Amino acid sequence: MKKATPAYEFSKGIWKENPILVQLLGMCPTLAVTSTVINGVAMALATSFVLIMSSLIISSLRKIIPSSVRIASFIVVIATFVTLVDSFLKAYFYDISKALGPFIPLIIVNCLILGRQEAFASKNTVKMSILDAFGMGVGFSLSLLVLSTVREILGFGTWFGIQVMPDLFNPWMVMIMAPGAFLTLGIMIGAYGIFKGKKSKGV
Amino acid sequence: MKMSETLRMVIVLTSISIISGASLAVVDSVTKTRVNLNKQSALSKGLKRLIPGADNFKKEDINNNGKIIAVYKAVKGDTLVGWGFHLKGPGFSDKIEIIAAVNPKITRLLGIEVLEQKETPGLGDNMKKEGFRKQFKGLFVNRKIEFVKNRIPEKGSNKIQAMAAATYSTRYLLDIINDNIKKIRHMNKIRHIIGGGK
Repeated sequence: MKKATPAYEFSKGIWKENPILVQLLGMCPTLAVTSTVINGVAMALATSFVLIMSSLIISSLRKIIPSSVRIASFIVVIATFVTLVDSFLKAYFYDISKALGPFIPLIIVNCLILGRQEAFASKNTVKMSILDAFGMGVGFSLSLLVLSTVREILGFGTWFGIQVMPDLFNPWMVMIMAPGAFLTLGIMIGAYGIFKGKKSKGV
Repeated sequence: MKMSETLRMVIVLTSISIISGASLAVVDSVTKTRVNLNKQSALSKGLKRLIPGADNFKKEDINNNGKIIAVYKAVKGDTLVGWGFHLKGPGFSDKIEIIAAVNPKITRLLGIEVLEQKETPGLGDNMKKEGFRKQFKGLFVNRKIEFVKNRIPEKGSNKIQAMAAATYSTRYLLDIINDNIKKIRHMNKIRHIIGGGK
């Protein structure tokens, strides 16, 4: 294993251990809400916020929480932050909250968040855990941004709701539906694999 | 030794839960007014979309054995042009809140709007979609609205096509509409206005 420098803990989530492309965690929101960029970004920000805050709390409490109730404790902490985000969106971004519907409450069971608490925050210092959470959050957000960009442009001809394709362009219905999400994600993971394979051969 | 470990478990989990509950209570009290305001505006926008001819909606609470149903009398000047009912009921997951708009005699639906639902994403939550909702326009509410699966219902059969793979969500939604409107139609206060006829 590579030596754990702060820079490494931060950057691993973005590329080397990207939560979506490599760990394949948190697939449910990834596939479901990325039909438009605005929903994808809102989901990415909400998930990252919950991830960072939970990592902060769990890593500071890691010596107090008995291991037999650790999962229950993680879930209570995560659920609290998710409910906070949910109330905040309902109060200040009502339309987004309606568009994301049940997916915000479902962040509670996003395995990316619980996974990071179990694999990292519960065993590392507060500083390292926050860096790890930040890196994972950025990696998650970037992947969702790419995925939703492809889907919105091909599926609606728009990006952030702004027309980017010529009028002649006939939107691909499939892209805004579930199969479009699977196809795009599959191609993204494949491209990542090709790129990574080439790089490691070169070394 | 064993005892102290158990005790620690109880203390830690209890403390986490108490802190979590307390912070949620604080946030809820802060955001509550704004959330209600948003809901209120969604409700009045929905009413206007369903009964565009009305220039005023007069709220009246109807007490149905302790359960309050919010009824909106849609008027244009002095004439009654329709009714908007704010209906709630259980869904497949969590509660469903809708507005059902009907004609002045409360015999036919003008349409429905979904205010809140947490049905299965991609299946039951299709009830939000225009394509599904527009089936309700013109259906009779003085008899039961029913549904058929996987085909377009016969004209005049007072049926809708259920959402694909979401039969329960469809059934719950229809129950909310059928049960509540039936009750409302039989309220003395309402019967008085609509004339009591069948």
